[in-house]
Amino acid sequence: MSKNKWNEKDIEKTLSNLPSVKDKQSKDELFQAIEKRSEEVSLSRAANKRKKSWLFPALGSVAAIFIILLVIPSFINNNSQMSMDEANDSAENMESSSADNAENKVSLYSDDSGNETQESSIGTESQSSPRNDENASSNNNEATQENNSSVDVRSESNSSESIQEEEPVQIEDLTPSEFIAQIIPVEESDFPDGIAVLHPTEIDHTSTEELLATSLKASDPTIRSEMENITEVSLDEQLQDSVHLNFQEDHNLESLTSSEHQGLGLIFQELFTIYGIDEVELSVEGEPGIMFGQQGEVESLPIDLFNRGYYSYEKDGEVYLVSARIVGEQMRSDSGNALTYRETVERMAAMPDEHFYTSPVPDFVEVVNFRFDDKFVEVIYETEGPETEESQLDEMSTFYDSLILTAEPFSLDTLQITNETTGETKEVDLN
Amino acid sequence: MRSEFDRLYTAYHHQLFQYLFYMVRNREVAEDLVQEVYIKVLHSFETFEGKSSEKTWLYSVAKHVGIDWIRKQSRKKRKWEGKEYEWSEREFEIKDQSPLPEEVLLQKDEVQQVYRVLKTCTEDQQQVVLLRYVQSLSISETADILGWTESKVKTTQHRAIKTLQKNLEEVEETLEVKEAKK
Repeated sequence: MSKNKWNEKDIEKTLSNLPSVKDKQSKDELFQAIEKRSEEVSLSRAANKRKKSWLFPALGSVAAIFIILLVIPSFINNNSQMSMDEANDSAENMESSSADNAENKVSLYSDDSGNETQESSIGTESQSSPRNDENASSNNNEATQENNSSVDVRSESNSSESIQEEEPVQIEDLTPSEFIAQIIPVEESDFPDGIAVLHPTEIDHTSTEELLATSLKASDPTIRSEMENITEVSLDEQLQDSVHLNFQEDHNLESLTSSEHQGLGLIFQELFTIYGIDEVELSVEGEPGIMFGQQGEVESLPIDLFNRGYYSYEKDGEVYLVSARIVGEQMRSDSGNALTYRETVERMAAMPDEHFYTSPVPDFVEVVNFRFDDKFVEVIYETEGPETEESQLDEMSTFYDSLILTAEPFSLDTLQITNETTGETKEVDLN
Repeated sequence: MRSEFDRLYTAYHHQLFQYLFYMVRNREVAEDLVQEVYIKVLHSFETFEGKSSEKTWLYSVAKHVGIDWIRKQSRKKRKWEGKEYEWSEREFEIKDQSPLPEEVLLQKDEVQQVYRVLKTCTEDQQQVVLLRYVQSLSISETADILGWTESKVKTTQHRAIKTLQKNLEEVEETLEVKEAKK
């Protein structure tokens, strides 16, 4: 076959003549399989609802809110605050957009792991956070050590018995894939320059790109709503660890004030960390590079994924989560190693009420153990009794969210959260 | 539900299955995914707003189901193969020697090569190729399914053909070199 054979017309013709491939399932077999699977889904949902009616009756109404607080400079005070209503409108618009969005569930959480940098500075991450494979390796080693050192306080027989008997329950309403992230600036007296919060909204059937686009627009800290000039958001097709933002020609990012520039950098940092995205590529009308405020022309911004844990923050009766790196919490052990998942959660649980942020672990909950098995981790806790009050349910929701978010940087597939007092088990697919 | 299924099956099943098959390149997976597509479609039929045609809506659901599966596989692959995979990915794909499906095996060498090299296109390019050529959909329908402008469909289609041409020529050259060495 000569090289000249492959002209465009031949290729197009060959593509059009690719062989027909038929489904070997008969129509009836297919329908039976569909019925069976539908039934399984229904049963699973019903079981889930039964469990939730005990533990999370209010969850369905967007109660599960996990929020990341950012230290945002003075742009907060420059009319850049976005109301919750606007943000919700945005989410609603997206939800009702088109049938094209249907049925796509993409995890907010990448399985990226161990991409930490040695430093964990606040406010300058986007300029100083290259990937660090050595550290990643170190982190994996820590995970292994953690795995090996874990001791289950329960007897061996009890442990395996409970796992076999109790089919893991999918906590669909807590799975981050069903939430849309919105960073919303709010004022906070402890931070004179203000803070921003991440407000996920329950939303089904959308792609990660759409989640990011809506999140960016809802989080826009610029006075001129520069995020509205984004014409395309696309993820790295294979690895999904970088995002490309394309802006239209008449954007004004070159005119960002220093506070807007810093705020936008921080929002990129916190938002993309949640998605496991470690690089933001910028372009204008498809041409790489953009004038990005005082920074001048940039083609890409690195995102530092290193964080260890989330803490609870309450404002006007609403409970949010703030990342450890934002509030400057300890993320490394005394020996300088990044905290393991166990160490991180233990630190979160032991946080004294002396800061403006607190432990995300409710007072009536005691984390008693961890169980690791390869890429699986089980957090085992005890409670004083069934949580029935609404406030307790909200606290439990925050607790779950903090465990899920905290698990993101670790090389884990599954997080199981077990209430040893009641036998209640929740499972989260971290992929 | 049965009558709705019968109608959809008669009207679209073969095309949907074929679309999924060429997307995921595995019969068993395509059989599984097509079930998922029907479940989603039948359960959300009441909420179908009619903003797009029923046909493009079905394709759209199938696209999301297929892409979700592909991305999950990529993430799993990445976990197993580590970061090195990122850099060698394209090469890895070109060298992919997984067995060809029987339908393709029965075809001429050119068809087999195009099928293999199709995998080297980007996800977007593959989508356009599948919808435009394998499924014979119009630019307008393809744009509707992918949520793109028609202009983007045309551009991506053009780039896809160029990519295929380049990679097919590379494969051809490699084969010629090997032949010459013999």
